[in-house]
Amino acid sequence: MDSLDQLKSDWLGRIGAASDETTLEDLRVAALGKKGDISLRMRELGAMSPEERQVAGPALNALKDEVTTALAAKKAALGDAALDERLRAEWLDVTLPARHRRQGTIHPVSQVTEEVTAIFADMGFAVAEGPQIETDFYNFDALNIPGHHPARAEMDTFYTHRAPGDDRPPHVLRTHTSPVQIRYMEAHGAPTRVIAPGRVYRADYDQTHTPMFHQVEGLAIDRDISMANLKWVLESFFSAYFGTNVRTRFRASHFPFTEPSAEVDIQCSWEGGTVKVGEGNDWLEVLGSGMVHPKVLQAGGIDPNEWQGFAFGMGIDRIAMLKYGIPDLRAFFDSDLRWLRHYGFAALQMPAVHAGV
Amino acid sequence: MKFTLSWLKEHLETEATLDAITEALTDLGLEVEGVEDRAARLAPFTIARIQSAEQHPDADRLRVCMVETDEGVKQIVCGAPNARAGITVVLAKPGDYVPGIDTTLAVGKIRGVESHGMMASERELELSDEHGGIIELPSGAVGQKFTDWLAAHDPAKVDPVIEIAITPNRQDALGIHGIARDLAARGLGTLKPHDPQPVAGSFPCPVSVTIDADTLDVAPHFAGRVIRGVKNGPSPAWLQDRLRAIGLRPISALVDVTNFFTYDMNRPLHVFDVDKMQGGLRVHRATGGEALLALDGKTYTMRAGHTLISDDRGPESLAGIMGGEDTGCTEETVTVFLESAYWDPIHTAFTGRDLKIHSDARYRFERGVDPDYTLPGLEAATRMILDLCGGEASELVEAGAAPKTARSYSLDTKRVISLVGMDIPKAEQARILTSLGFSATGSGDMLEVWVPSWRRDVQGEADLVEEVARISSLTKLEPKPLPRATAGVPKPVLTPAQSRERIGRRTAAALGYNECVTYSFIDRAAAQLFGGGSDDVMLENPISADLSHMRPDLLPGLLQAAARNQARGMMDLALCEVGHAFHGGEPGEQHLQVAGLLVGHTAPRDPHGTRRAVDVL
Repeated sequence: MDSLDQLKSDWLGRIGAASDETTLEDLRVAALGKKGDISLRMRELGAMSPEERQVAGPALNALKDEVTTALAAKKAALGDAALDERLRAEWLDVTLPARHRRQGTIHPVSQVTEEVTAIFADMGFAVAEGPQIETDFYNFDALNIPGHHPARAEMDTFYTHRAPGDDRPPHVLRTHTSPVQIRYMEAHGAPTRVIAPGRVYRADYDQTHTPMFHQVEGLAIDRDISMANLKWVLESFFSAYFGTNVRTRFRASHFPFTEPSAEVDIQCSWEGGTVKVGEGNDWLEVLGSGMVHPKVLQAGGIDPNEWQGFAFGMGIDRIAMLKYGIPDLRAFFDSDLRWLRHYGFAALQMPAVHAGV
Repeated sequence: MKFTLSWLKEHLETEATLDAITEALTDLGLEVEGVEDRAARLAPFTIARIQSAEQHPDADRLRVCMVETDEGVKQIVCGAPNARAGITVVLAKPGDYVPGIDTTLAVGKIRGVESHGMMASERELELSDEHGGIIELPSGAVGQKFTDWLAAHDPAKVDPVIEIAITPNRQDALGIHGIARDLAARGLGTLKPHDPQPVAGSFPCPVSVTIDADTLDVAPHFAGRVIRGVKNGPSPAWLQDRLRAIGLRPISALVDVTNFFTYDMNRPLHVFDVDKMQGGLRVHRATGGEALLALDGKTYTMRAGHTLISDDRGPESLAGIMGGEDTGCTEETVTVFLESAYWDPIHTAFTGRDLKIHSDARYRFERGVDPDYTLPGLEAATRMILDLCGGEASELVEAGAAPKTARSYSLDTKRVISLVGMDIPKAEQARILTSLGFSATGSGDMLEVWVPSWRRDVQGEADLVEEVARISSLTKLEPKPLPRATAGVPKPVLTPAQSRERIGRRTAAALGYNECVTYSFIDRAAAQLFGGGSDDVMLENPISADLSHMRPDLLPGLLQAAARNQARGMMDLALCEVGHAFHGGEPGEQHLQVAGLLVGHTAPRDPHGTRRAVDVL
């Protein structure tokens, strides 16, 4: 039995001294594996007499149990130590700031142009574009504004330089998006529904005017389109754009390219010093509109006896200011980073009618 | 265009309130830009009477007055030298706002004596600059509203001034009579008839008038007459008050009469001092180089083709634009030639633009005055001059004749429904047109409509539809759905290029660029650095030298934007722009660009050490 005691203290000593799980596994195999020390001794039991076996069997089993328990305990102790070591070594300060990523923004003019486009696209309006340097003809004459018309003088037109010897009238920077109407009618005829957003220019600069700004033109031509349709289209547009029911008020006015003409006001309240669209009993002028003048239809190559329709023009910057509470028009074109970040829109915020614009 | 309510009521018989009138004007297309309601500021003040005025115990210049008011007798301390028992005064009570001193009154103690209000001077009520003492009224009952007293005794002081914007087509609304006509057609009263009767001349006109044959196309009609023995001087208070109220300076009776008719009837007139003229008047085209010292004190040199009125000495007046200084009327004028003429709108506009003269006459002639009112206007003005300045009128002289403007258009009354979407019965359409001075007759759905001489803007059926819709009010327009052009889900509308533009813009933003919108024009030097800056993309009239050329590329504008940001302390920038650049000065010589730039460092300083200067890679 001495040898068993020796064996026990030997194995327990080696298990206690094991420094890692690999060593411990090796010890387990060496002691309890198929050819392990203790396993071999167990096998010897078969060769013993029943009396010897009665003594040696329980002793060996006790030894096996003791070594098994010691291995398990050691394994658990080594696992805890390893975890403690990992916990100590693999530490991360999650309160540190994240690595910087640039946040880009979309300019309010672009965003609002897309919003306007999305709404009108739903009503079947395509998007047209046109040149920003325009001929005198498309910017004025074709729109029923002849050379002597006082409206020309009132428009603060930018003219481009004419080389000596070039006797054509100077080109202009388009003063409105209306020339796109004519070009589109020439190219596509009737019936048609189209909007034309873009840059326009007037030689004016003060608190509320910049020499460049943005307009969107609308044009719908068909056989029986009336001003009542125009009112519905505009009310539908403003209600979708501002996200609340907006009433409009039509006031008689005059534009050379429409007849009858109307200035359109939207319902608003001035309570508390800020303007709120779609509430209250005040009115805010936002656009000019009317039924396309027969002469303009003619200029676009469309027979006014067969076709009629409406046109309107409104300021994109202005409706952007109204919707997003932007106070100063001049800041739109200043590119101040703080302004761009504050009033800009996320790249993924793409206007869509189903998501609300 | 400014006018006062009482002036309007000279032409319009109406019970309508000021608010109703201004609302109707805006709705009719005569947009009200402002109303100066002088009565509103004076509304709280009432009439009171000083019962007694005793010396203030502690102040030499102050008196303690017991004042009879609508709320009983009040004690008021007053410093005015004329404050004394028995006079009728204008009272401001505690709580009232006094405009001239910009103060809301409270009960106060002045040198130890309580004072319950104040008695106002004219300056304190902003009636005039008079501040020598408090207002003493010659009549008025205690408790009566001061505005009511003014309305009865000095209406000009409380006459609201209305300012409206006139669209270029509405020549008729440049006279107060025309504005009244619109309001009457809307149903806000009755237009008072204006039918000046001829003044019989008592002697042949000593000034002859002629129009050169080659000038008749731009100066078809020139008329006038001499009035001799006039006594010129300041015009009467009612006329001065009216002119002042609308921002004109009264000059002398003769000149004020011409200004009166300019605004009253949209009939500009001119007066020559006959004693400063030599011979008759001839209307002719300038040969070029003639100089004229005009009434604004400036000398203008004519270009060939401008229209002049000359006497034997030379040019005396710029037709339809401004008279000459040499024959201008003064206080000493005793013999005057009163001119009433019709000048071609387009020609007047070009001449005025050429010479850069802005005048009430040019403004009106280039929009068009009523060609059939040339002679009636002359008669009406003659009568007023005779009334105000005395004298004796000659027979009328006339060259040329009023241009023929009579024309008619067929109006399909169903067009109003089809074009506007308002169902207005034919009888109402005819009533509206008739009340505007058109004549309208016809059978079935059709009306044959004759245009009055003062509506040169009306050139076809669509204009008639507009008149009907305008007068019956577009606010009544009911929205009507526009059916979808095609059934079902709307088709995509963006072209491939438009989609690409949108994707390009949003990709740049997703990469961290802040989108800018910079001006399409930049300075020449910057443009030249990027291959532009040539004369064909140069603006003839830039608003500043910094914005003189169309941009050849988006980068110079972004670089300038970056520099502005750096000047404001923002050093790390990622800017982009999507827009058109211009490679030539002809329409269409523009191309779409996406441009971006990085400036400074990739990131702020951080614990990870990722910050580095940006580079092209």
